[in-house]
Amino acid sequence: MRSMRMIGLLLFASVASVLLVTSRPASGEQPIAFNHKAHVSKGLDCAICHRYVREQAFATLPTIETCLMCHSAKMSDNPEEAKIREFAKRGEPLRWQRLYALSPDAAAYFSHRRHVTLGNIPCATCHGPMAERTTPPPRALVRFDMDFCISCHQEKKVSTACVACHR
Amino acid sequence: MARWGMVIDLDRCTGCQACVVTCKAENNVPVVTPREAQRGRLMLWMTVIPEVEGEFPRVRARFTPRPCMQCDHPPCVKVCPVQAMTKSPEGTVSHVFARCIGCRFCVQACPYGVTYFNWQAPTWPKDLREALNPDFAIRPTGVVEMCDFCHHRLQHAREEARADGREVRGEGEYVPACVQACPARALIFGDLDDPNTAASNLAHSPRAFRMLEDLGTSPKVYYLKEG
Repeated sequence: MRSMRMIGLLLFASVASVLLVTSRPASGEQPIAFNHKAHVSKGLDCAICHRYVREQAFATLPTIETCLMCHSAKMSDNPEEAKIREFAKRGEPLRWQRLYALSPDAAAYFSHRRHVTLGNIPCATCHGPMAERTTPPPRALVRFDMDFCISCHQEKKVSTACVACHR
Repeated sequence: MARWGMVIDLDRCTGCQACVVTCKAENNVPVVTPREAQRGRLMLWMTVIPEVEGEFPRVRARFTPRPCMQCDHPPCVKVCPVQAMTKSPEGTVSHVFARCIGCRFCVQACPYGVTYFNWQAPTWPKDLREALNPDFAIRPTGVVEMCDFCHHRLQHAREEARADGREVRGEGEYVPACVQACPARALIFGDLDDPNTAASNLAHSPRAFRMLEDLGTSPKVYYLKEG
């Protein structure tokens, strides 16, 4: 029985090493080379573009309408900015390349609201120094696995029971 | 801390199987072909066991809905070599699919036969595939699956309660899908430790009994005898 348990734990260790979040590199370039630093330094909050990050389990990527709230008229000579109006003119949606996706193998439940609003965790804890980036990163800035989650949960003294996240 | 439990009133159950269908849809339980079902590979996390007594014209049918018994001393948790079967601090027995190695010890250990091994990759007819519940995992092949009192619903309820700065209410806020669907209100769900919930009151009624009680598994699913 004891040896069975050891074998099981070893097997589990190998499963646990699988990344929880597939930090997949973008298959192509982002439609617009978005400058996070330029926006954040002007005092724009993350939730203006990544709506619902405080209210829902999911966060969103901005649509062209969000960009046009400010950029419907020319603001700079940056060619990337002009792209916004070109996309709008063509009626083409912005197809952002998603860098973070919860791996289906992890079968875990992650809620942005729970972490951002209820837990007061800064975005940079999981998303890295995005606010400093002047160009879109080719892949997720933070690579995290279950150990990453567990160490933070232990530090903040919140539940580490399997079923608190997995389902 | 709440101790979630279910009371099933056998007097009220009409055997309509709404709970069975709801459970399948809520938990993305794969559809099993008749051929596979004949080989004993039917997967019904919630099932209604029919029992017909007497002969025509004096026939009487009894229906016993049977979810996971959510034992306080669960044999499946004891035998699991990788701790994939876990009992949460609230007493709910859940299964972490990513951990399961498919050894099926729990299938052997469970005296109620409510743990199922999925032998094949999950399949659904086209219409059902488009209606899968995004709130619950689709299991990989070769793991054991079972009812966990719709634990994902508790995760949502807990988040809502936390946003309001309180604990999950003992009744009404978190209910498994089968309880919500039962048209005859034969299934009652709530905190068994809270004396103000209907579930706790009914669990202490003289009509209450539990399946295979003498095994010492202390199920948190209570049945109410027919009157």
